[in-house]
Amino acid sequence: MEIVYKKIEELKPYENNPRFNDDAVEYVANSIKEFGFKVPIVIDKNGVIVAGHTRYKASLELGLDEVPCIVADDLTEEQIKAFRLADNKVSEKAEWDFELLEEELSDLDIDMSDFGFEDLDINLDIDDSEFVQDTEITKNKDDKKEIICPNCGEKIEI
Amino acid sequence: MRIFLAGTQTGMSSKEREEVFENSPPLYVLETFFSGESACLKAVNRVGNENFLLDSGAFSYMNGAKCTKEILLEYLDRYIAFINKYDIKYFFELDVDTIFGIEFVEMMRKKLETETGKKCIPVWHKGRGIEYWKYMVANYKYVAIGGLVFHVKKEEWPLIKKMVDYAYAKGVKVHGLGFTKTKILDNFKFYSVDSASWVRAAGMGQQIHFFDGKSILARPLQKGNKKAYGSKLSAHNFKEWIKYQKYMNAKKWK
Repeated sequence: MEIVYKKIEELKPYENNPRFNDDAVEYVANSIKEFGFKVPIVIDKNGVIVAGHTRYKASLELGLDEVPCIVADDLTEEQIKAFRLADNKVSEKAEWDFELLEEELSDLDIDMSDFGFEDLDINLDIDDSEFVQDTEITKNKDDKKEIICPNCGEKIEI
Repeated sequence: MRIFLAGTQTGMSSKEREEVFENSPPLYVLETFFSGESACLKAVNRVGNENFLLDSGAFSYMNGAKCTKEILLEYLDRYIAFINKYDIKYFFELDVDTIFGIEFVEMMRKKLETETGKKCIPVWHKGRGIEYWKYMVANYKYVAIGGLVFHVKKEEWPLIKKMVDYAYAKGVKVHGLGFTKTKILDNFKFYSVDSASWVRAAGMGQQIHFFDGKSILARPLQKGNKKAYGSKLSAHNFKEWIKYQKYMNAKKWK
Protein backbone atom coordinates (compact mmCIF):
# COMPACT_ATOMS: atom_id res chain seq x y z
CA MET A 1 0.00 0.00 0.00
CA GLU A 2 1.57 3.23 -1.15
CA ILE A 3 1.05 6.50 0.64
CA VAL A 4 1.32 9.54 -1.61
CA TYR A 5 1.28 13.20 -0.66
CA LYS A 6 -1.28 15.28 -2.55
CA LYS A 7 -1.86 19.02 -2.64
CA ILE A 8 -5.02 19.75 -0.68
CA GLU A 9 -6.52 21.57 -3.69
CA GLU A 10 -6.17 18.38 -5.74
CA LEU A 11 -8.68 16.59 -3.50
CA LYS A 12 -12.41 16.75 -4.22
CA PRO A 13 -15.06 16.00 -1.59
CA TYR A 14 -17.64 13.48 -2.80
CA GLU A 15 -20.74 15.52 -3.58
CA ASN A 16 -23.20 12.95 -2.24
CA ASN A 17 -21.37 12.17 0.97
CA PRO A 18 -24.27 11.09 3.24
CA ARG A 19 -22.53 11.88 6.55
CA PHE A 20 -22.84 14.93 8.79
CA ASN A 21 -19.29 15.49 9.99
CA ASP A 22 -18.98 19.20 10.77
CA ASP A 23 -19.18 18.62 14.52
CA ALA A 24 -16.21 16.25 14.38
CA VAL A 25 -13.85 18.53 12.44
CA GLU A 26 -12.55 20.41 15.49
CA TYR A 27 -11.62 17.16 17.29
CA VAL A 28 -9.93 15.66 14.23
CA ALA A 29 -7.98 18.89 13.74
CA ASN A 30 -6.87 18.70 17.38
CA SER A 31 -5.81 15.09 16.85
CA ILE A 32 -3.73 15.98 13.77
CA LYS A 33 -2.09 18.84 15.69
CA GLU A 34 -1.30 16.63 18.68
CA PHE A 35 -0.32 13.37 16.98
CA GLY A 36 0.35 14.28 13.35
CA PHE A 37 -1.48 13.02 10.24
CA LYS A 38 -1.47 9.30 11.02
CA VAL A 39 -4.45 8.09 8.96
CA PRO A 40 -4.23 8.91 5.24
CA ILE A 41 -7.23 10.06 3.21
CA VAL A 42 -8.49 7.46 0.74
CA ILE A 43 -9.20 8.89 -2.73
CA ASP A 44 -10.14 7.46 -6.12
CA LYS A 45 -8.01 7.88 -9.22
CA ASN A 46 -9.68 11.24 -9.93
CA GLY A 47 -8.89 12.65 -6.49
CA VAL A 48 -12.46 12.30 -5.20
CA ILE A 49 -12.49 11.44 -1.50
CA VAL A 50 -13.63 7.91 -0.66
CA ALA A 51 -12.92 7.92 3.07
CA GLY A 52 -11.67 10.86 5.12
CA HIS A 53 -13.98 13.82 4.53
CA THR A 54 -13.55 14.93 8.13
CA ARG A 55 -9.77 14.71 7.89
CA TYR A 56 -9.98 16.75 4.68
CA LYS A 57 -12.03 19.49 6.39
CA ALA A 58 -9.68 19.45 9.39
CA SER A 59 -6.71 19.84 7.01
CA LEU A 60 -8.33 22.90 5.45
CA GLU A 61 -8.96 24.33 8.90
CA LEU A 62 -5.32 23.75 9.84
CA GLY A 63 -4.14 25.29 6.57
CA LEU A 64 -2.21 22.20 5.45
CA ASP A 65 -0.82 22.35 1.91
CA GLU A 66 -0.32 18.61 1.47
CA VAL A 67 -1.97 15.57 3.00
CA PRO A 68 -1.11 11.84 2.92
CA CYS A 69 -3.41 9.85 0.65
CA ILE A 70 -4.00 6.32 -0.49
CA VAL A 71 -5.27 6.04 -4.06
CA ALA A 72 -7.81 3.22 -4.24
CA ASP A 73 -7.18 2.57 -7.93
CA ASP A 74 -7.67 -1.16 -7.46
CA LEU A 75 -11.40 -0.75 -6.77
CA THR A 76 -14.23 -0.49 -9.29
CA GLU A 77 -16.60 2.47 -9.16
CA GLU A 78 -19.22 0.32 -7.48
CA GLN A 79 -16.73 -0.97 -4.90
CA ILE A 80 -15.66 2.60 -4.14
CA LYS A 81 -19.27 3.62 -3.58
CA ALA A 82 -19.81 0.63 -1.31
CA PHE A 83 -16.56 1.14 0.61
CA ARG A 84 -17.40 4.80 1.19
CA LEU A 85 -20.57 3.73 3.01
CA ALA A 86 -19.16 0.62 4.66
CA ASP A 87 -16.19 2.50 6.12
CA ASN A 88 -18.59 4.80 7.97
CA LYS A 89 -21.11 2.12 8.88
CA VAL A 90 -18.82 -0.36 10.58
CA SER A 91 -17.75 2.13 13.23
CA GLU A 92 -21.38 2.37 14.36
CA LYS A 93 -21.30 -1.28 15.34
CA ALA A 94 -18.51 -0.90 17.88
CA GLU A 95 -19.28 0.17 21.44
CA TRP A 96 -17.21 1.41 24.35
CA ASP A 97 -16.52 -0.60 27.44
CA PHE A 98 -16.89 2.40 29.72
CA GLU A 99 -15.16 0.83 32.71
CA LEU A 100 -12.02 0.07 30.68
CA LEU A 101 -12.25 3.44 28.97
CA GLU A 102 -12.34 5.17 32.34
CA GLU A 103 -9.20 3.25 33.37
CA GLU A 104 -7.37 4.15 30.15
CA LEU A 105 -8.33 7.82 30.38
CA SER A 106 -7.22 8.03 34.00
CA ASP A 107 -3.68 6.98 32.95
CA LEU A 108 -3.31 9.93 30.58
CA ASP A 109 -2.07 13.45 31.25
CA ILE A 110 -3.19 14.61 27.80
CA ASP A 111 -6.45 16.57 27.88
CA MET A 112 -8.71 14.12 26.06
CA SER A 113 -11.63 16.57 25.93
CA ASP A 114 -9.74 18.04 22.93
CA PHE A 115 -10.75 14.88 21.08
CA GLY A 116 -14.37 14.77 22.16
CA PHE A 117 -14.10 12.71 25.34
CA GLU A 118 -16.49 13.93 27.96
CA ASP A 119 -15.83 13.71 31.65
CA LEU A 120 -17.00 10.26 32.71
CA ASP A 121 -17.08 11.41 36.31
CA ILE A 122 -19.85 13.84 35.46
CA ASN A 123 -21.89 14.76 38.51
CA LEU A 124 -25.63 15.02 38.49
CA ASP A 125 -26.19 18.12 40.54
CA ILE A 126 -29.96 17.98 40.67
CA ASP A 127 -32.13 17.81 43.72
CA ASP A 128 -35.52 16.09 43.80
CA SER A 129 -37.04 19.31 45.09
CA GLU A 130 -36.31 20.94 41.71
CA PHE A 131 -38.96 18.77 40.09
CA VAL A 132 -42.61 19.66 40.29
CA GLN A 133 -44.07 16.61 41.98
CA ASP A 134 -47.46 15.46 40.75
CA THR A 135 -50.34 14.44 42.89
CA GLU A 136 -50.28 10.71 42.52
CA ILE A 137 -53.93 9.95 43.06
CA THR A 138 -56.78 12.43 42.76
CA LYS A 139 -60.54 12.25 43.10
CA ASN A 140 -62.79 12.92 40.14
CA LYS A 141 -66.16 14.64 40.11
CA ASP A 142 -67.92 11.46 41.23
CA ASP A 143 -65.62 11.32 44.22
CA LYS A 144 -63.86 8.27 42.81
CA LYS A 145 -60.12 7.85 42.92
CA GLU A 146 -58.40 8.62 39.65
CA ILE A 147 -54.88 8.50 38.35
CA ILE A 148 -53.35 9.77 35.10
CA CYS A 149 -51.07 7.54 33.05
CA PRO A 150 -47.70 9.33 32.96
CA ASN A 151 -47.07 8.13 29.41
CA CYS A 152 -50.31 8.57 27.49
CA GLY A 153 -52.20 10.94 29.80
CA GLU A 154 -55.17 8.60 30.03
CA LYS A 155 -57.33 9.07 33.15
CA ILE A 156 -57.90 5.82 34.96
CA GLU A 157 -60.40 5.24 37.71
CA ILE A 158 -59.03 3.05 40.45
CA MET B 1 -31.23 8.87 17.27
CA ARG B 2 -33.80 6.16 16.84
CA ILE B 3 -37.38 7.39 16.50
CA PHE B 4 -39.71 4.49 17.22
CA LEU B 5 -43.14 4.94 15.70
CA ALA B 6 -45.87 3.77 18.07
CA GLY B 7 -49.50 2.92 17.37
CA THR B 8 -48.74 1.42 13.96
CA GLN B 9 -51.65 -1.00 14.23
CA THR B 10 -54.10 1.89 14.61
CA GLY B 11 -55.31 4.79 12.51
CA MET B 12 -54.76 3.40 9.03
CA SER B 13 -57.04 0.89 7.34
CA SER B 14 -55.41 -2.50 6.96
CA LYS B 15 -55.11 -1.95 3.18
CA GLU B 16 -53.38 1.38 3.64
CA ARG B 17 -51.18 0.01 6.38
CA GLU B 18 -50.00 -2.79 4.11
CA GLU B 19 -49.28 -0.33 1.31
CA VAL B 20 -47.33 1.99 3.58
CA PHE B 21 -45.28 -0.81 5.10
CA GLU B 22 -44.63 -2.21 1.62
CA ASN B 23 -43.63 1.06 -0.04
CA SER B 24 -42.04 3.08 2.77
CA PRO B 25 -41.32 0.78 5.69
CA PRO B 26 -40.46 2.43 9.00
CA LEU B 27 -37.04 1.81 10.51
CA TYR B 28 -38.18 1.36 14.10
CA VAL B 29 -41.49 0.47 15.69
CA LEU B 30 -42.75 0.37 19.27
CA GLU B 31 -45.80 -1.66 20.14
CA THR B 32 -47.56 -2.03 23.44
CA PHE B 33 -48.40 -5.46 24.81
CA PHE B 34 -51.82 -4.06 25.68
CA SER B 35 -52.59 -4.02 21.92
CA GLY B 36 -52.42 -7.80 21.96
CA GLU B 37 -49.94 -10.45 20.99
CA SER B 38 -50.99 -10.44 17.37
CA ALA B 39 -50.33 -6.71 16.97
CA CYS B 40 -46.96 -7.06 18.69
CA LEU B 41 -45.99 -10.01 16.56
CA LYS B 42 -46.92 -8.19 13.36
CA ALA B 43 -44.84 -5.20 14.45
CA VAL B 44 -41.76 -7.23 15.34
CA ASN B 45 -42.01 -9.19 12.11
CA ARG B 46 -42.15 -5.99 10.09
CA VAL B 47 -39.00 -4.36 11.44
CA GLY B 48 -37.09 -7.21 13.08
CA ASN B 49 -36.17 -7.77 16.71
CA GLU B 50 -33.25 -5.31 16.70
CA ASN B 51 -35.53 -2.48 15.64
CA PHE B 52 -38.48 -3.25 17.85
CA LEU B 53 -39.38 -2.02 21.32
CA LEU B 54 -42.04 -3.71 23.42
CA ASP B 55 -43.89 -1.58 25.93
CA SER B 56 -45.66 -3.39 28.74
CA GLY B 57 -48.89 -1.39 28.38
CA ALA B 58 -49.52 -2.17 32.05
CA PHE B 59 -50.96 1.23 32.77
CA SER B 60 -53.53 0.94 30.00
CA TYR B 61 -54.29 -2.59 31.13
CA MET B 62 -55.21 -1.34 34.57
CA ASN B 63 -57.93 0.77 33.00
CA GLY B 64 -61.02 -1.36 32.82
CA ALA B 65 -59.57 -4.23 34.78
CA LYS B 66 -60.15 -4.41 38.49
CA CYS B 67 -56.98 -2.91 39.76
CA THR B 68 -55.44 -5.74 41.76
CA LYS B 69 -51.90 -7.00 42.03
CA GLU B 70 -53.02 -10.53 41.21
CA ILE B 71 -54.52 -9.46 37.88
CA LEU B 72 -51.38 -7.53 37.02
CA LEU B 73 -49.20 -10.53 37.86
CA GLU B 74 -51.24 -12.67 35.44
CA TYR B 75 -50.65 -9.98 32.81
CA LEU B 76 -46.93 -10.09 33.64
CA ASP B 77 -46.91 -13.87 33.10
CA ARG B 78 -48.36 -13.40 29.61
CA TYR B 79 -45.84 -10.61 28.93
CA ILE B 80 -42.97 -12.87 29.95
CA ALA B 81 -44.31 -15.77 27.87
CA PHE B 82 -44.50 -13.54 24.79
CA ILE B 83 -40.97 -12.21 25.29
CA ASN B 84 -39.64 -15.74 25.66
CA LYS B 85 -41.62 -17.20 22.78
CA TYR B 86 -40.45 -14.58 20.28
CA ASP B 87 -37.10 -13.84 21.89
CA ILE B 88 -37.90 -10.13 22.21
CA LYS B 89 -34.69 -8.21 22.79
CA TYR B 90 -35.80 -4.82 24.09
CA PHE B 91 -38.76 -4.55 26.46
CA PHE B 92 -39.84 -2.16 29.20
CA GLU B 93 -40.67 -2.95 32.78
CA LEU B 94 -44.21 -2.60 34.17
CA ASP B 95 -43.82 0.89 35.60
CA VAL B 96 -47.00 1.19 37.62
CA ASP B 97 -45.26 2.92 40.53
CA THR B 98 -48.08 5.38 41.05
CA ILE B 99 -50.64 2.63 41.54
CA PHE B 100 -48.82 -0.07 43.49
CA GLY B 101 -45.59 1.58 44.61
CA ILE B 102 -41.96 1.03 43.63
CA GLU B 103 -41.46 -2.10 45.76
CA PHE B 104 -44.09 -3.98 43.79
CA VAL B 105 -42.63 -2.67 40.53
CA GLU B 106 -39.19 -3.89 41.61
CA MET B 107 -40.59 -7.31 42.48
CA MET B 108 -42.18 -7.53 39.02
CA ARG B 109 -38.94 -6.34 37.40
CA LYS B 110 -37.00 -9.07 39.16
CA LYS B 111 -39.50 -11.71 38.03
CA LEU B 112 -39.46 -10.33 34.48
CA GLU B 113 -35.66 -10.45 34.31
CA THR B 114 -35.30 -13.81 36.03
CA GLU B 115 -37.86 -15.55 33.85
CA THR B 116 -36.67 -14.03 30.58
CA GLY B 117 -32.97 -14.17 31.43
CA LYS B 118 -32.60 -10.64 30.04
CA LYS B 119 -32.39 -7.13 31.40
CA CYS B 120 -35.51 -5.06 30.87
CA ILE B 121 -35.55 -1.32 30.23
CA PRO B 122 -36.45 0.27 33.56
CA VAL B 123 -38.58 3.41 33.35
CA TRP B 124 -37.80 6.40 35.54
CA HIS B 125 -40.60 8.67 36.70
CA LYS B 126 -40.24 11.83 38.72
CA GLY B 127 -41.57 10.11 41.81
CA ARG B 128 -38.54 7.78 41.83
CA GLY B 129 -36.12 10.61 42.53
CA ILE B 130 -32.65 11.39 41.25
CA GLU B 131 -30.84 8.78 43.34
CA TYR B 132 -32.95 6.13 41.64
CA TRP B 133 -31.88 7.49 38.25
CA LYS B 134 -28.25 7.09 39.30
CA TYR B 135 -29.01 3.54 40.40
CA MET B 136 -30.62 2.77 37.03
CA VAL B 137 -27.69 4.25 35.11
CA ALA B 138 -25.19 2.30 37.20
CA ASN B 139 -26.99 -1.01 36.69
CA TYR B 140 -28.46 -0.91 33.18
CA LYS B 141 -27.18 -0.26 29.66
CA TYR B 142 -30.55 0.97 28.40
CA VAL B 143 -32.95 2.99 30.55
CA ALA B 144 -36.03 5.10 29.91
CA ILE B 145 -37.62 8.28 31.17
CA GLY B 146 -41.41 8.20 31.32
CA GLY B 147 -44.02 10.88 31.72
CA LEU B 148 -42.43 13.19 29.14
CA VAL B 149 -45.71 13.91 27.42
CA PHE B 150 -47.90 15.12 30.24
CA HIS B 151 -46.00 15.06 33.48
CA VAL B 152 -42.78 16.88 32.75
CA LYS B 153 -43.26 20.62 32.88
CA LYS B 154 -41.44 23.02 30.59
CA GLU B 155 -39.25 24.32 33.42
CA GLU B 156 -38.14 20.74 34.09
CA TRP B 157 -36.65 20.17 30.63
CA PRO B 158 -33.19 21.43 31.69
CA LEU B 159 -33.25 18.86 34.51
CA ILE B 160 -34.16 16.08 32.09
CA LYS B 161 -31.36 17.24 29.81
CA LYS B 162 -28.85 16.95 32.67
CA MET B 163 -30.12 13.46 33.45
CA VAL B 164 -29.76 12.36 29.84
CA ASP B 165 -26.28 13.93 29.60
CA TYR B 166 -25.29 12.08 32.78
CA ALA B 167 -26.35 8.72 31.34
CA TYR B 168 -24.79 9.51 27.95
CA ALA B 169 -21.45 10.35 29.57
CA LYS B 170 -21.53 6.94 31.21
CA GLY B 171 -22.35 5.16 27.98
CA VAL B 172 -25.92 4.31 28.94
CA LYS B 173 -28.64 4.55 26.30
CA VAL B 174 -31.71 6.59 27.23
CA HIS B 175 -35.15 6.20 25.72
CA GLY B 176 -37.56 9.15 25.98
CA LEU B 177 -40.99 7.59 26.29
CA GLY B 178 -43.57 9.42 24.23
CA PHE B 179 -41.26 12.29 23.31
CA THR B 180 -43.05 14.16 20.54
CA LYS B 181 -41.46 17.60 20.60
CA THR B 182 -39.43 17.30 17.44
CA LYS B 183 -38.35 20.96 17.47
CA ILE B 184 -36.36 20.55 20.69
CA LEU B 185 -35.42 16.88 20.37
CA ASP B 186 -32.02 17.85 18.96
CA ASN B 187 -31.08 19.29 22.36
CA PHE B 188 -31.30 15.93 24.11
CA LYS B 189 -28.84 13.08 23.77
CA PHE B 190 -31.53 10.45 23.76
CA TYR B 191 -30.53 7.19 22.12
CA SER B 192 -34.16 6.65 21.21
CA VAL B 193 -37.64 8.09 21.62
CA ASP B 194 -41.09 6.99 20.52
CA SER B 195 -44.12 8.83 19.33
CA ALA B 196 -47.67 8.08 18.30
CA SER B 197 -48.48 11.70 17.61
CA TRP B 198 -48.70 10.99 13.87
CA VAL B 199 -51.87 8.95 14.50
CA ARG B 200 -53.16 10.95 17.47
CA ALA B 201 -52.94 14.14 15.41
CA ALA B 202 -54.84 12.50 12.58
CA GLY B 203 -57.51 10.96 14.75
CA MET B 204 -58.18 13.51 17.44
CA GLY B 205 -56.58 16.79 16.58
CA GLN B 206 -57.23 16.55 12.85
CA GLN B 207 -53.77 17.83 12.16
CA ILE B 208 -51.71 17.13 9.11
CA HIS B 209 -47.99 16.61 9.73
CA PHE B 210 -45.11 17.52 7.43
CA PHE B 211 -41.42 16.84 7.71
CA ASP B 212 -39.75 20.17 6.94
CA GLY B 213 -36.24 18.78 6.59
CA LYS B 214 -35.43 19.08 10.30
CA SER B 215 -38.57 18.58 12.36
CA ILE B 216 -42.28 17.83 12.09
CA LEU B 217 -44.65 20.68 11.37
CA ALA B 218 -48.28 20.34 12.36
CA ARG B 219 -51.03 22.18 10.52
CA PRO B 220 -54.66 22.12 11.67
CA LEU B 221 -57.15 21.13 8.99
CA GLN B 222 -60.21 23.18 8.20
CA LYS B 223 -63.19 22.10 10.21
CA GLY B 224 -65.60 20.06 8.17
CA ASN B 225 -62.92 18.73 5.87
CA LYS B 226 -63.85 15.21 6.87
CA LYS B 227 -62.60 13.65 3.67
CA ALA B 228 -59.07 14.18 4.84
CA TYR B 229 -59.67 12.69 8.26
CA GLY B 230 -58.99 9.19 9.38
CA SER B 231 -57.10 6.51 7.57
CA LYS B 232 -55.68 8.56 4.67
CA LEU B 233 -54.51 11.32 6.99
CA SER B 234 -52.92 8.79 9.33
CA ALA B 235 -51.12 7.18 6.40
CA HIS B 236 -49.88 10.59 5.22
CA ASN B 237 -48.64 11.56 8.69
CA PHE B 238 -47.00 8.17 9.12
CA LYS B 239 -45.03 8.58 5.91
CA GLU B 240 -43.89 12.06 6.97
CA TRP B 241 -42.72 10.65 10.30
CA ILE B 242 -40.77 7.95 8.47
CA LYS B 243 -38.88 10.72 6.65
CA TYR B 244 -38.17 12.31 10.01
CA GLN B 245 -37.12 8.91 11.36
CA LYS B 246 -34.56 8.56 8.58
CA TYR B 247 -33.27 12.09 9.13
CA MET B 248 -32.83 11.57 12.86
CA ASN B 249 -31.33 8.13 12.35
CA ALA B 250 -28.33 9.77 10.69
CA LYS B 251 -27.80 12.18 13.61
CA LYS B 252 -24.90 11.60 15.92
CA TRP B 253 -24.09 13.51 19.06
CA LYS B 254 -20.83 15.35 19.58
